[in-house]
Amino acid sequence: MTETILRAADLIAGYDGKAVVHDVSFAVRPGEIVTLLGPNGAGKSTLLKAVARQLSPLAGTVFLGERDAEKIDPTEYAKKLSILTTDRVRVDRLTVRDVVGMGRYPYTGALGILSAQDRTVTEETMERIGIMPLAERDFMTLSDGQRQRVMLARALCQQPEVLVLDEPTSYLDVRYQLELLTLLRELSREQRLAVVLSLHELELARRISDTVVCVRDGKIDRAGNPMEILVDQYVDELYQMEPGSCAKFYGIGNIPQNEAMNSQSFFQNRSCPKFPCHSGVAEEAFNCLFCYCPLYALGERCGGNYHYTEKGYKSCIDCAFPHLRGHYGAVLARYPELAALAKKGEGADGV
Amino acid sequence: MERKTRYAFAFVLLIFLLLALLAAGFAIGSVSIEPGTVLAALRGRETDDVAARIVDLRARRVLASALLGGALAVSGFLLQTFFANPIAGPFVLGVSSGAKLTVALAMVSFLSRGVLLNSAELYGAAFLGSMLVMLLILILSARVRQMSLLVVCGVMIGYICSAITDLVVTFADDSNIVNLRAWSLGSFSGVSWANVRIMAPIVCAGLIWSFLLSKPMSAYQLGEAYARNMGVRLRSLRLQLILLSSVLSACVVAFAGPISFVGIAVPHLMRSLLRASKPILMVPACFLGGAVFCLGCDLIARTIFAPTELAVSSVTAVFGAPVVIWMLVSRRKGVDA
Repeated sequence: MTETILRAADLIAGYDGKAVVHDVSFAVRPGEIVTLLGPNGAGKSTLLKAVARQLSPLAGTVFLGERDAEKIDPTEYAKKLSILTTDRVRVDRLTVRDVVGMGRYPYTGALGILSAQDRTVTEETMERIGIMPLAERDFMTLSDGQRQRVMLARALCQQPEVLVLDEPTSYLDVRYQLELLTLLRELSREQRLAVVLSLHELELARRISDTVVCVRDGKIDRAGNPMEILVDQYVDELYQMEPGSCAKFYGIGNIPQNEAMNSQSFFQNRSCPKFPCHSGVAEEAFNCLFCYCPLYALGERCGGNYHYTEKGYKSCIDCAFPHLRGHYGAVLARYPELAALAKKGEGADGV
Repeated sequence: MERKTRYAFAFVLLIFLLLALLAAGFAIGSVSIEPGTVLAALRGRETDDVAARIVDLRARRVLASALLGGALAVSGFLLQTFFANPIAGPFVLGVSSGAKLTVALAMVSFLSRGVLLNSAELYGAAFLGSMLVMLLILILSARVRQMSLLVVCGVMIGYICSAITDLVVTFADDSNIVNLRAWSLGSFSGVSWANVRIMAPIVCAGLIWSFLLSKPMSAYQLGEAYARNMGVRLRSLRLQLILLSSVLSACVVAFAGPISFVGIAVPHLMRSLLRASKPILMVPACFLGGAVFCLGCDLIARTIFAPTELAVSSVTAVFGAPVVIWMLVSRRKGVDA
C-alpha cells in the first residue's frame, strides 16, 4: 500500500449544519484516478466540496498528505490541490491567458504579478490543453465547452498534487470528453497527479478510473475496481432503475456474466449493433473475437491462452477478458499501444 | 505588448487630464485672477487680500473634489468586486443616503444645542450611517440573490433615508438650514482646510489599502469557489471590501454630501479605457478617473451659470447616468450573445 495523498476519515459534510454525506471514508493515492458515481442528489458534489476544503466538515477529517486539511495554510493548500467546479464563471474583460494565469495565484507575490516562470507555466499549460489558439480571446466570448477547458487549464496551472473535478465532462462533446479523460490519464501516470472526479457517464468512468466510489443517499455504497463494480445489475440498483434497463440501453445484451468471463475461442455477440457484420459469411461461422477483441492485437501478451490456426489467426483458449463490447473501451484505455493500433486499423471491424 | 502601450497611454492621459483640471480649477472661476497671481498666492508671496482668499478657497475645493472623486470611484469599484456586478455603487445601494441621514441628524441635533461638529465627528456620523445601510444591504443580499432586485432595494433604502433627511432639514432651525441644504444636495463648496486635513489621510490610506487588496480581488473575480481554492481568505477579504468602501464613501458624504453615479460610471469608463478589469490597474485608474471626473463636474457646476452655483451631484448625474445606461444596454447585448 503506497502512501495516500488525500484521505477522508469518517467525514460528515453538509450545509447549514445539515449533513448531506455521512461517515464517508476513502483514500486517493498519487497517480490514482478515483471516480465518484451515483444518482443526482446523492451527495457527490458535497463530498467533492468537502475534500477540496470548500466546505468545512461537520465531523470527521480530511487529510491532505499526513495533515488535517483544515489546519493547512490556504496558500500552501492551494499549491497542492486545485478544483474545477460546475459553477458558471462570469468575468469581465479577461482573456483566456489571464484566466489561466490566475492559476499561478498562490505562487505570486503580494500584488499578484506573474513572474517569467509563471508565464512559462501558463503557456505550457495552455499548449497542453490545446487552447493556445484561444489565448487572446475574451473569456466571455467562448462556448461552454471552451470555457470548461480553460478552467481546467487554470486548475492545472496551479500545479497541484491533487485535482478535484466536479462533472468535468459536462458541456463537452464526445471528442473533448475523450481528450479530457486521456489527458487526465496521462497526467496521473506521468506526474503522479491524483485525480478525484464525479461523472455521470458510466462508460467513461469504466475507461478512466482506477477506483470507482459509488455514492448513494449520502453514503458510500460500494467502492473498488470499476470492472468489478460496474456490472449492469448493480448499475440498475445504484441509479434505482428497473432491472435490465442498463443492459438494454447500452445494447450489451444479457449475456450471463460468468459465461462471458469464460474462455471463448468462438464467441458471437448477437446483440451487437453491427452483428452480423460480414455479409456472405454464414452466421454460424462468425467469430466476433477476430474483429473486436482488443487483446487480439496485443499478440503474445494478452494474458490468456491461445493458439494459432493454420491460417495464422489467433484463437483463444482461455481468455482473460470478458468479451462484452462495452468493455473494449476500458481495455483500450488501459493499453495505450492498443488504442493506437485500434485507430490505425479502424477498418478492421467490417469488411 | 500592445496591451502595455494601452495601459501606459491610459495612465498618461489620466494624469495629464488631472493636472490640466487642477490648473483649470485654480485659474477659472466667477472672479478672474491672473495665473501669475494664483502662482504667487500659492507660493505664499504677498498678494492682495481678496485674490489670496479666493485662491485659498479654490485650493481646498480643488483638492477636495480630486480626493473625494477618487474615493467615490474606488469605493464603487470595491462594491462592484464584492457583489460581482458592475451596477453596484455606494449611491445606488443607498449607502450614501444612509450616511447623509446620520450626518444630517448629527448636524441638526448638535446645532440646535449650539455646538458645531468638527470634521472628525462629521466623518464618524457618516461612517456610522454607511455601515448601517451596508449591513442592511448585506442582510438583504443573503435573501435577494438577484443583483437587480438588490439594487432596487438599495434605491428604496436611499429614498427612505433621503425622505427622513428632508424631514430633519425641514424641522431644523432656519439658521442651520442654509448650510445643510447645499450639503444635502452635494457640493464641494463648503469644504474647509480642517475637512481636508481629515479626508486626505483617510482617502490616501483607503486607496493604498485597496491597491494592496488587488491580488485577492482578482482571484475573487472568478467566483467564491475558485478564490477559496487559490488560497484567498474569503471572510477577511469580504470584510475588508465592505469596510473600505464604506470608509471611502462615508468620507465623501461627510464633507461633500451625496454625489451620484460617480461610483458606477467611472469604473465602467476606466474598464472601457483600459479594456481590462484587473484590480491592480483598476484601483489606481479609478482613483485618477474619479478625480478627473469630479474636478471636471465641479468646474462645470461652478462656472456654467456663474455666479450661481449648481449642485455638483446634478452635474455628475447628467454625465454619469448616461454612462450607466450605456453600460446596462451594452451589457445586455453581451449577455444575450
